[in-house]
Amino acid sequence: MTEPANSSDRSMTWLYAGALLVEAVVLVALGLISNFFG
Amino acid sequence: MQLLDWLIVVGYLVWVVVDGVRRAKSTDKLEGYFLADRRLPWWAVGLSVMATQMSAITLVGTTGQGFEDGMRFVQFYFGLPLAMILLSVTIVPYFHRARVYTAYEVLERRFDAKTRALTSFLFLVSRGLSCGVIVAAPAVILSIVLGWNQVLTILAIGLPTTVYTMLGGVQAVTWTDVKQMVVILLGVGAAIVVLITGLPEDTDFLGTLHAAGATGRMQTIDLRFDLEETYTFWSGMIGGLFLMLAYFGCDQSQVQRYLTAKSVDEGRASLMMSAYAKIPLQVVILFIGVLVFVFYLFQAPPMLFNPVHEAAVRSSARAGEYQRLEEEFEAAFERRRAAAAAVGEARRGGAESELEAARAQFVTAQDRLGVVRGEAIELVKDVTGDATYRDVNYVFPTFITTRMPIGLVGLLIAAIFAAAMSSIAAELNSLSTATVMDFYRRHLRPQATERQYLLVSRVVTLLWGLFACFVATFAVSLGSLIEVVNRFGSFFYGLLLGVFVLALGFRRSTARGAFFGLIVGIGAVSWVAFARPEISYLWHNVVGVVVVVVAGLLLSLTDRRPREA
Repeated sequence: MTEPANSSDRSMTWLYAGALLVEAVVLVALGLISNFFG
Repeated sequence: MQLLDWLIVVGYLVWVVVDGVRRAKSTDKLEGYFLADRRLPWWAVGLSVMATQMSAITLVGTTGQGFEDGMRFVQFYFGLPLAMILLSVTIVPYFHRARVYTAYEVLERRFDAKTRALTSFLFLVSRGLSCGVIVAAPAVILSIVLGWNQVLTILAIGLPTTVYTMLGGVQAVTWTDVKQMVVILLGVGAAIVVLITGLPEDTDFLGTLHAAGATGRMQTIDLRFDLEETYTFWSGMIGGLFLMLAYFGCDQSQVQRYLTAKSVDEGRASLMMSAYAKIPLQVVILFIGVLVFVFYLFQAPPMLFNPVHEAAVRSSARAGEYQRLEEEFEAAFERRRAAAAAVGEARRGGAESELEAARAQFVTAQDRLGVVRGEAIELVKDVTGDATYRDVNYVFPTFITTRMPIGLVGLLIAAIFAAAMSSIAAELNSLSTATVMDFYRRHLRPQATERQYLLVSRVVTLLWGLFACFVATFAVSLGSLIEVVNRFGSFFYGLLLGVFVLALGFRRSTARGAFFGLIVGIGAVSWVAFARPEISYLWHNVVGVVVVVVAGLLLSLTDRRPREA
């Protein structure tokens, strides 16, 4: 059985983790671009 | 602009206004007018959050900044994703449970009426002024395109926006925002395609980026910890985090967006859309500015991007001096074009030392061009008496109107105008909400009918619209418009955030501590802003939060009266 509140919390946690992951990837990409062209 | 472009611009603006006014039918109650009965889907709210933040200034000011200064401005947004997560966990459920109209209402429940009134007043001052700047940005464009007087263009933008916001309320704001975002993205995509395909056929694209990189324009991350440097990794990550926490958590123009969401989770998801998309989108928009720089490496740029000032110099007694500078500029441009081509050839050749030598030669050529342009700008300042003259905001509009193909000019101009109007609308709507709910209903007429409140809300929206137009007439000469808005915001936002941190994070804080902590904070930020102007404005947010929280807690500890619930 699934608790709706827990399910919601879990999906929000994944949503937050995904946002941090996307930022990390973008920062690394920007660092590489700066390094390559800078 | 050709007839087709005019048709696109006028057709789009008429559609937006008509669509906004149409929403007036479903706004006969205060909750519908201000909060859409709290029934909007997350994706519409999320796009509205992004459209509200991204006004015409984002396209005009940020691309200008990318052209002049490069991409390092993107660091300003580094704290945004973390801010969105923190707000989703803390303040979004808090506001939804409290079922408030304004963010400042919760401060009365937690502290007292005067703390709510002071924070709401600070919001009204900062947002009222910045709304004027947001009106000014597209007015700058219109004045170039049409050759109209700037006051006339300000009224042409501000008044229709005021009308549909006044009649349609938050529903008009949100649903027009959704449409604006689509048009903005189409415009951004079109600009990139035109800029890249507009380069000469034999141009080495990566080589041109190397040339831009040699001038520092591809530098996106600066890890130095320097309080006097405006955009660094740390100022963005720390100062930007506080700014974004305050902007999305304490600024009614954003809080009101997610208060309209169906549920707590839909409100959270609407904020998380920005957490995912904002930084990549800003990278793209700044990159457009760099591409405009690259484009003008091979196509002769105007020496000055503001044709009005240029015409003033040409018709002055110093026209001969200006003509001599133009000749020098032309020669410097030809040298720079050759140097840029040489960078491409060196890159294709593959030898690192040759590439470095070519890049160094390009920098010398670019510096020479910059010196001539600088002399022309000084000449403009002397002739016009405008000591603050900068033409960074005219770069992208000039590119659009002189280099984009027919049809796309209309699309880009429509995108900029419509984006501006939707942001202005959101701000007018939130200014009206705070004025009516935090002052009129709370202090002046607590017992009025819904009908009376609605009427007053519409009148107040009209008054704020007129005020924004008035401020805009001064804002057009304030340099980089995006910096002006962020400076206004950074002055107040840390202070507001400090009060919310006291309210939510410290059970021991009292009403007296919060109120006088805020007063101390205003003094501290004012001192830093005026006595230490060399400190980057992003740090004002940090100073505001820290001083309000520390002073508020100390004052709370000395408060002998019983703590309020």
